[in-house]
Amino acid sequence: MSTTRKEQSSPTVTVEPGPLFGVARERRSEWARAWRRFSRYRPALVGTAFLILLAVIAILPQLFAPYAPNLAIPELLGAPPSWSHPLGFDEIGRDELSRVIYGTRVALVVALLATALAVTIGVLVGATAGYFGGWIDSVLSRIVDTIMAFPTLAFLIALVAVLGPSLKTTIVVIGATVWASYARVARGDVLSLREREFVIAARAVGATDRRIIARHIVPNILGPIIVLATLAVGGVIILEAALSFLGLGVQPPTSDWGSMLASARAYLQTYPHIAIAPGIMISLTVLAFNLIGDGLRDALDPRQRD
Amino acid sequence: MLRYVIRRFLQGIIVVFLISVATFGILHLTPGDPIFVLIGESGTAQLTTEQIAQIRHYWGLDQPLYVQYFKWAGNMFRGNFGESVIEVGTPVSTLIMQAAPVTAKINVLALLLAIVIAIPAGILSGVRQYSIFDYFSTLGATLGVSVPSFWIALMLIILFALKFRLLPPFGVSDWKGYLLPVVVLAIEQTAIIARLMRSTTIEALGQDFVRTARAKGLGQAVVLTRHVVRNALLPVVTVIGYRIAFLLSGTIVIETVFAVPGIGQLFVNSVYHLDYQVVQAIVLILSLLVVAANLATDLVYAFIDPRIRLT
Repeated sequence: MSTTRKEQSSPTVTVEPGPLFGVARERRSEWARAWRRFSRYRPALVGTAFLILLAVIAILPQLFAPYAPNLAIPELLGAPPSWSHPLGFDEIGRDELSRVIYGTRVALVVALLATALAVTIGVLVGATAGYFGGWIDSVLSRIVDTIMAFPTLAFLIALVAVLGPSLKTTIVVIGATVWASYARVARGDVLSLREREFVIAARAVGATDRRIIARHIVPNILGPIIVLATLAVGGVIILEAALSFLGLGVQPPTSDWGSMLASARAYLQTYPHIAIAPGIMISLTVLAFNLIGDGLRDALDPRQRD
Repeated sequence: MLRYVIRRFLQGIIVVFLISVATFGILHLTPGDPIFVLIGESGTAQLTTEQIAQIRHYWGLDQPLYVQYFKWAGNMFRGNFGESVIEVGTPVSTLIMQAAPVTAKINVLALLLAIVIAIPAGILSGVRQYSIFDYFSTLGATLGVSVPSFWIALMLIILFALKFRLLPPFGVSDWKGYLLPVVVLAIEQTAIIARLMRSTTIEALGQDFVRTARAKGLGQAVVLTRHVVRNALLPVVTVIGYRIAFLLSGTIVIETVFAVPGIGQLFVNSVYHLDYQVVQAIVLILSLLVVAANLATDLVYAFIDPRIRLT
């Protein structure tokens, strides 16, 4: 993070070479301003609070879940909500609330790891394409176009069908299909950064390409990438849920919101109550990420404001 | 303009080539022998070595990979998608032709519905920024992109099909059956188009030419229709062109929920039954559709807006 701060403000530094403490103050105010802009947007704060709560639930579900997620009481299968079981029982007699709570885990793990994978691939590919240009750029850009031409879900499903569904497959295939938009943004930003004074200066003092990309270019494109990633996490959560909903994601008996909706669909007529809570949780989680993303966009990337 | 068109076409051809390689490659991604993917690991266990060799030869798996690819690609582009493994003897192309019209119908209707709602709503939101209408439409758009469509589908089925019994819970035997799938498919598109239309309208309203138009005494209606909306629509048209890929993604889940006998359901069923010929063909066709739609969008855009051709 410390390199990010340093590099983020380096364009300002080159424009205004001042005494050391002056430069330091400049850095702090840049991030302080971003935080002020972010915290002014109330919905983003609500989203952040909700996500922190979800993260705690995902790390320690046993503190929140009243029952074991896989404990089935066959006599009570499909029983409607009651005081001791506020969301009722599912189609084989497990406590719905406990399963919803444990489901947080899969949703967040897939969302974060798949997004991290996608950002890593996307930034590497995009930065390389933008920095070197020429035929490297042409080749990488066509690969990006190709990935973007696949209807994401169709490509994902085909990959899962061959690799076999599991938590690991879900993370890897989602990460491997959604990186293209990061590459596109990274490439565009690098293309313009490449000609900036601080990059030329670094090259003049003999920095290697690797060092210039890693220490001067990448930190400067992180702002837009973070914004894009936050806004895209919601989409990843929906993709994961859709895969599980089709039975091609995390396998039973793991608690997962998408798979819970899949069983709900099979028993829609008899036990409609099990279709409600998992959908609300998916929606709220995606909404939280989208609100934070909107806030971050205003705070970090004023160009894209709408 | 001609140079731009030629360049975009060449890029498109390269992308089509890469798509075909990737689609072909999916089958070979499996950690084991692709023959396991075709007939299943347990299936291979029951066969003799000669039988396996025969099957390998039948599918051409005994040839070098690049030969296999060119044979496969040649067949694909002649429209010969092979035979379904599950519905034995039925050509894949027949299955796809049977399923395509329904999918085309619900997707076109959904896109039209989304455009008809989102564009006026987005313009009104942008023109009356921070009004009550803007507040609710922005809220609706934010929810529209956050709530998963298949869950909305389940809720609408519970409400309209099971509780009030107004609409059928699944199938498209009459027009009533189309109602829910089309509405559900349209929701996300409506939200995205409306959001974008709002922001481009706000941006256009701040432009100098709008001030000039006002200064020369034009009324609000003329300024909006002639100057603001015309300019604000441009980026929206491109995005609608690019949304095709997402629309087709959505149709896969929604057709499954509502048991619509279209491409989406055929695709998912083929995956369940490990009918890889069908899976490959559908991935290929859908991606080519997206490439064609994107190319058409780019060309239309470059035609309308000369600035694009230069970059």
